[in-house]
Amino acid sequence: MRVVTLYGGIKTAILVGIVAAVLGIGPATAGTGGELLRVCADGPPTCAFTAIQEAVAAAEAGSTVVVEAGEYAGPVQISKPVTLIGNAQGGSVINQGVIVAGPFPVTLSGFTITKGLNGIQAQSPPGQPAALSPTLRVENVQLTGNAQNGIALFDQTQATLSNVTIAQNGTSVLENPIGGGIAARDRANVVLQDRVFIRENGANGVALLNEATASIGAGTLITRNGLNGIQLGGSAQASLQGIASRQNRCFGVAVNDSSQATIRDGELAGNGKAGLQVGGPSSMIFAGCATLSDVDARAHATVTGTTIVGNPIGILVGDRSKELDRAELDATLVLFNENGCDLLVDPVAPKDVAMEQTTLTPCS
Amino acid sequence: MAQSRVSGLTRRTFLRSLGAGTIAASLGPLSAGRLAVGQEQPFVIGMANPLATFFGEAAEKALSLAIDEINDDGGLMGRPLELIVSDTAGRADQAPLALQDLVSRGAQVLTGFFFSESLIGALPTFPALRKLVLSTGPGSPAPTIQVANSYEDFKFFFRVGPINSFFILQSTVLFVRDFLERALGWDSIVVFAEDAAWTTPITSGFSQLLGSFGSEVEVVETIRYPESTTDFTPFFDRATQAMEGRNGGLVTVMAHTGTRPTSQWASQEIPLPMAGINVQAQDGRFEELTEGASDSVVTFTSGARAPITERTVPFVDAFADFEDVKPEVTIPSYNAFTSYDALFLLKDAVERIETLPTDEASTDAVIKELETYGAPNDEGEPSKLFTGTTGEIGFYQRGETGVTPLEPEQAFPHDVRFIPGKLTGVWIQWQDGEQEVLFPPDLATSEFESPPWMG
Repeated sequence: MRVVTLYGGIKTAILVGIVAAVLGIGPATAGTGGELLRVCADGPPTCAFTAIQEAVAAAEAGSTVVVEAGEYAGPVQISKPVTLIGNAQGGSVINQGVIVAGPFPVTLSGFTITKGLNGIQAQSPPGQPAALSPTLRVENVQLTGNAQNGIALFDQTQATLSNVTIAQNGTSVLENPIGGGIAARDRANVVLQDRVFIRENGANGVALLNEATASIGAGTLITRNGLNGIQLGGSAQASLQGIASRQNRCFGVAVNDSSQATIRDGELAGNGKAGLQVGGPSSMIFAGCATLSDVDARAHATVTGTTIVGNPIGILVGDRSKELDRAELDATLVLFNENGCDLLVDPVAPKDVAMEQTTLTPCS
Repeated sequence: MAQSRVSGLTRRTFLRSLGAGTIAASLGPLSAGRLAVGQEQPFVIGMANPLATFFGEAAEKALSLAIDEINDDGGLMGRPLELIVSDTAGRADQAPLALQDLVSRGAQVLTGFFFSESLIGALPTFPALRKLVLSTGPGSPAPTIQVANSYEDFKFFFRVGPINSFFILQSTVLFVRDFLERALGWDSIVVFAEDAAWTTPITSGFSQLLGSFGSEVEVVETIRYPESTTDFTPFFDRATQAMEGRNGGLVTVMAHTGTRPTSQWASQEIPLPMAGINVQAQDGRFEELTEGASDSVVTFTSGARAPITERTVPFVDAFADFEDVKPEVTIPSYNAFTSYDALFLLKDAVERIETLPTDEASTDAVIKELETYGAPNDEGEPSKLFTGTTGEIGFYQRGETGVTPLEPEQAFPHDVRFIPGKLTGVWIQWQDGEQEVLFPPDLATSEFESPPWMG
């Protein structure tokens, strides 16, 4: 690790280690081999920088930028492997978002990110192959009040989130919900680990499109979003383990187009239209839950050990309006409770539904 | 530079956020290095559409065909055109991301959109992106009303086609009056509409509107069926009973749900012809989608294999023969016609002023030039029309009101003009697996046929 002296004569290697230890960040993400740069509202001599972007620009690859309490203007554009640490227990606020573009690891920890187009946007650099996308780690972060999405992941970005709250992002135009919690497109991958809360966003809590993949683990609560808790479109795939998706306006989980989802030990409760939808296209009608257009697709969901409670329909297979929509559902040990009815299978298009060790009341 | 606020973002902020692109410049040799030395950089066209749908595929194919033809002819101001695409999935939440994706990948001009919902979802990004947007699919008037209300923010938007919803309604009324009533002798109709937001203004005022246009056709029943309907029998029963002893049929108002009602209408041999708007019937695979029920179904569209202009039939034939992209799509959808027209219109405008829209100033210059297409001459007639495949294309002007009796106080600047005899759209009917033009009469390629079970 290179040691440099900054204002105040602090040996940065030592400080990097202390900060990393306090925040629980391993050495691999704490800027090994880099320096530590401090950002604070007062600037010199208290710290070297008053703007995060200036510190990032000055940082060498692998450096750590520690940001003290205060509001800082963005968007912060990151084109090198760095770690950004908010050192104020959420009191380090980045306005106008963070944009990461390039094939390297970036860690963001300890910030509130707000007033951006997207709170965090990650992608390959323009004109570059999608494979040159970042690996992003987001910890102890609040993303709120961003115009479109809390997090938007393009290309082959890989993002891992823990202890993150994504709330009240997105907006509405002519009653048309736009934006949501997390949007991952085109082979991006997102992993939600511990204590991720996604609530009250404009459209979907989590939207996966076109070969995007997600692994969403226990401790994830997705609630009161404007469309669905989680929606898979195109050929997206998701593994949902121990999640709760509650009180979303349409579906707790919607597996559309040719997407696939595995739901294990989850809870889909009190959603506006159904706990789970399998089949149908992902396109949404104006401010509604119904879907648009005929798409020749085959959606598949495997549901095990999951509670589906308090929805008008427990599981909707198909979307009740399309001809070419195929859907497959394998359900085992699903507990239905207090739904209007438990299982509705669109009778028109081909469906393959297998239910084991499950008692249910079919919809008429 | 003035800053305009977009959903909590200032324009400058947004532009800077897009400046992630500038990050890339130093990252490697690939960003601008694909071309051989001495070759001109491509000028990039970005298409945002629901890529998995027929309409997305057809638009991509039409743009690719146009680009091939333009590049074979020397490109755009000497620069080869390149097409990049991004998926809106037909969703309001994904459309803005698709546009960002395209711009960050270098698109200088944006085109596409199929669902109005997607376009409206993308509206807040227009003032920030400040790229020319040539819309080719949705009919919602919301964007051009935005141009009227907030020109500096939304001047980038032009609807090359189709005509907007008000003019589609006007065209429908004229079709009922001039064709169904006066040519076929219908005296009554049932308005048969999906229960969706876009159909409400049509069904609520259709009867009155017919009267105001001098039609004596009676609307004996208006049926709005839920889009989730699986069994249309009760609705067809209502329609049949209402039409007992009358001469007429169904005037459909369907976009999202066309195939299922059509299939059941044919399988149940409902004794009422189906004429009206059935957007799914524009799909070249409609015969397959309805399992053979397409025969005699009528719909409105922007173009067909008919001599609308001298460019129309050659385009349809070239589209069918073009196998480089989506060879399985052989019949252009309405937004394929308009997409093709959009690129050639852009070429015409750019070459007239010898300016490519590569930055804000040059984009402004191209906007000013596009605004001259369709500008009224001294006699008040639209002048300098561009001959496309869908007709003679020009745009409504700022402050130009009174263009439709349905909304006389509203201006629709940058909306393609509805010009009787020059650009109106066409009414087609499926006959033996082919789309034939019924109306307007000067473009008709066939006469109306009743459903096979009606003789």
